Amino acid sequence: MMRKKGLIILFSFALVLMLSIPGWAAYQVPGVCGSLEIGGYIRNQTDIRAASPQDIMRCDTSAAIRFDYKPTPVFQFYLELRPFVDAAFDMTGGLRDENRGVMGIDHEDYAWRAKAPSNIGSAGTQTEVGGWVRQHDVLSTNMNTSYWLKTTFLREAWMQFMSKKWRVRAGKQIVTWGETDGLKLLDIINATDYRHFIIDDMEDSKIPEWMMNITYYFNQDFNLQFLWIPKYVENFQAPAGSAWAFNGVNLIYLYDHFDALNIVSGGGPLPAAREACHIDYGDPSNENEFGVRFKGAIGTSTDFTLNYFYTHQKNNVMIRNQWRYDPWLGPGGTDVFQFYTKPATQRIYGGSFNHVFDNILGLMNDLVMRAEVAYYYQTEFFGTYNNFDYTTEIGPAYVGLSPGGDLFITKRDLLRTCIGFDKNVYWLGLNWLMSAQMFYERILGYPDSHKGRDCYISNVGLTEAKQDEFTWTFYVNTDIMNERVKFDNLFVWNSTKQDGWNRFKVGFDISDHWSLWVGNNFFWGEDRATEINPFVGNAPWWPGSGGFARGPANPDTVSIGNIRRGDALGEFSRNTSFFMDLKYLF
Amino acid sequence: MVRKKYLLALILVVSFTVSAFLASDVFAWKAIRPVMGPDGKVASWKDEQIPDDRVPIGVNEVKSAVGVFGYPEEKFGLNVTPAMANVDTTKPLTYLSVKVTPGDELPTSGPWNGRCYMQFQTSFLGMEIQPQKDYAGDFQFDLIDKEGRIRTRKVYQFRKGFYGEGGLRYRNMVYFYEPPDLRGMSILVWKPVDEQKADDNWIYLPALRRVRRIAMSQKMDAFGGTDMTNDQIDRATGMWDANIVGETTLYVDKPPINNCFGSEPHRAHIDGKHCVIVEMIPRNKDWPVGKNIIYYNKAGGEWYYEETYDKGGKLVKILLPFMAHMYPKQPIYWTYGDWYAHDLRTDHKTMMYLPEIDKAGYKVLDYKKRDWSNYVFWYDVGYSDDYVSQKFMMTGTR
Repeated sequence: MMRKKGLIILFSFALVLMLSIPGWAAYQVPGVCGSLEIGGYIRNQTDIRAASPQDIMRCDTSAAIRFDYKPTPVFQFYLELRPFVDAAFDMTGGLRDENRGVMGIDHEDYAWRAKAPSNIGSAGTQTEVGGWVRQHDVLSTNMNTSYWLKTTFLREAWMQFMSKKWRVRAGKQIVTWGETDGLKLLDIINATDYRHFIIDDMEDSKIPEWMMNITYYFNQDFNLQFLWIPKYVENFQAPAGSAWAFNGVNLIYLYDHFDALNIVSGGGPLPAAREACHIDYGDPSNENEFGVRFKGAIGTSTDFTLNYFYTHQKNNVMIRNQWRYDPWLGPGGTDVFQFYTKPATQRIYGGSFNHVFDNILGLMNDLVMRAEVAYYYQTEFFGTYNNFDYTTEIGPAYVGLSPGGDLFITKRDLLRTCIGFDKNVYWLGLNWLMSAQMFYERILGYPDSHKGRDCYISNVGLTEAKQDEFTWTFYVNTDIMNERVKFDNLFVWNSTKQDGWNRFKVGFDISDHWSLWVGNNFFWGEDRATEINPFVGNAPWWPGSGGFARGPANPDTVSIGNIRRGDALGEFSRNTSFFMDLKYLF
Repeated sequence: MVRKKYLLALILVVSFTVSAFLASDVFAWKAIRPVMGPDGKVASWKDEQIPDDRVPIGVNEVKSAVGVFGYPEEKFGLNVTPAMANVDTTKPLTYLSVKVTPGDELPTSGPWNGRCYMQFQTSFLGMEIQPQKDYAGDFQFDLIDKEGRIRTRKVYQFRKGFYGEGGLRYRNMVYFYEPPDLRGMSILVWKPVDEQKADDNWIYLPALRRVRRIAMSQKMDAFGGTDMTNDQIDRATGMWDANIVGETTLYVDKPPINNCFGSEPHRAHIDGKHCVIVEMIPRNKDWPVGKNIIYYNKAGGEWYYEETYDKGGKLVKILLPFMAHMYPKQPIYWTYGDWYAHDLRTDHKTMMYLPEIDKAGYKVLDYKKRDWSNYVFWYDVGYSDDYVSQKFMMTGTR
């Protein structure tokens, strides 16, 4: 492994050295029919945790190479390869245990050399941090680092045909919809790469997908776009135990890998534990997605779109309580609690527009307004019972209880809206671009109760979703020294939950080919809300067991299973970090 | 699913094959070269075939497009008199399509006033000069810091005069292809006839993959990191008061130019020209400019020299925006010459000019010899309006 890493580093430096010689940095390849341009970059992004600088959260070296071939004016072929390696995942002395999402997942399971499914014996084994592992099976494709490597190597590959009226682009590509920055409402044609939560640039955060993209231009102002995606792609999640893992991902990992219900450690048979702690991976019955967008203009100052997208819920980890054969009890069924990853189909209706105000009531000039509305029809949420008594109500179904019995699935409509304004201001002799957005989201028909019990809704990160949520973003940038030095600050604040994120960064154009950004990500908010996790705590798995099969005695004192439900941004307050982004472009 | 993937792959392969077949039958592009007579004028034209990669995008869709080689020596391009250029500053300026702000009406008799000069400047920057239909070409600008370190940007430009059609004077598209981190970025400006209306501006950033509308207040922002503002590239005439405040003869070695930054042939061209001095004061008090002082050629209306003062009245920037007549086929068309800008506060300089090496890697200009004979101009080719629309911004790149 060390040898491989050494070779990669050596190769990267050799390539940089080669490309530093101007003669090699050619864009246009002569002697080719039409035009062929070759370009790309080599880049390193390193993040270091502010609270414990020895924790390298990211050491991601990527190399992109792009081939853009236009044999004739009407045809274009585009290919981009983007291999990468994130050494942070391979550092055995990397993240300290307490800074991992689940605080102690076996390193073998999130390193690049993560093992393929292999049973490690009926009794399981002790992990490096003390947890009990049943088997080293990788969770699912979208949580598996080797899957990322395989998928992202071919970043984009498409061909395009253009005519006066038509544009047809087929292949692996990125499509952007909507008007918002930072948070995605309609801009979800491509799945999102959450390996680094939401801190990546917008382009980097999108996962290119195979699709057919056809646009018909009625004229310059009006066009109709049709998208067909033959197979949906899931969002990439940060792997359990890594710095940016969602609580939900950590929880599933825990459930899948550990004896979460303490059946084995409580003296029960392993098959029963396996049956209860089980994850199914399934493709949806309909893998197709398609979208339609009508884009138009009103005069020259207003652009608008109307959108429809038939898609899937891409954070696709759900739960179910299912009647299954119980090998422990013999013939007869029992209700076991399971996770599954079969994504639900979803319909999204929406629209967006932008407009320039030359003057608003004589008070303000030159204001750009952007707005977007998305209606997510019948979205699946986790429902969660309030005031659940974990000491008496959780346990196997055959005694009338259920592990994870505080969770249920419910479908609700979700309305997501955004309005934003952009304005240039001159201050301190500099030109500042200021942008403010307000996001309002409402879950329609928010359940106050389910099966006669008080409840609330959680999202995939197992953080509580309020019926109405307001999120605000403020973005400002400026530059000095003729754009050689750039300053950029993004502030995101969920005023409903009082959690947020601020990213400040400074960029320096070292030359036409080298650029360097350094900055800080600062998260705040509730990282450990009061709700207890159903899989931890001093909970007997059924009443009257007399201590037989209980959860961990105290979730705050154990190294595994310590998953609490913080707020979406607040839960990453442990990840306040400093970062560096060095790029050589050619 | 596997079948669907194979189907997509099959479509790709078939398309590639078809286009490779089409590419093998590339069009033989033609350009005409001026043959100079003994009187220094164009005596005849000679056809020449040029490689297809020397034809700019957009133009390469127009099979009838014919390029025009430049003059072998720059001086031929500069000897255009105001009469030849159909410019007479002693008579009313009537042929512009602009609808001026009430109170700013151009004079109906007598010589040009300050606003006429400013409007004319905007007109020739917008290539709004009949019978010109369109222009496509490239230019580059070097950003030179006080230590002499140079950063270079290269762009394609599409400009198209609309002469009032659809309420527009002209449209302008600038598409960056160098340096690599700006490649694919494009800026589109639609200049409305009604100068009380703001320009419509859009920007496409490859990192966002989205065309984004931007506000006119960015007129005061530096264009691409240069020492010129967006307004100097595309003047918002309705945002300025403009008055003639004097006349003078410009000498390159005397104030106000004082041997400032600039190439010798262009300084020589300016030297000794009689100018009107126009004071421009911004109407938007938020703009970080106190005033601009511009020196226009009194007889020909050319924009020779510009000073920018801050709100405290201090000179902060100078600009020598050289526009040349170097297109042999139609000598009244203005072509970008060399522009020099100098920020006196930071000692940062910008030089903007046509690139010696084009996008395909051919050496097309020799600035030392002032030889334009290998440069191909593309005027009046009739390329699609798509190249000055959002459609190109989205599709011209990835």
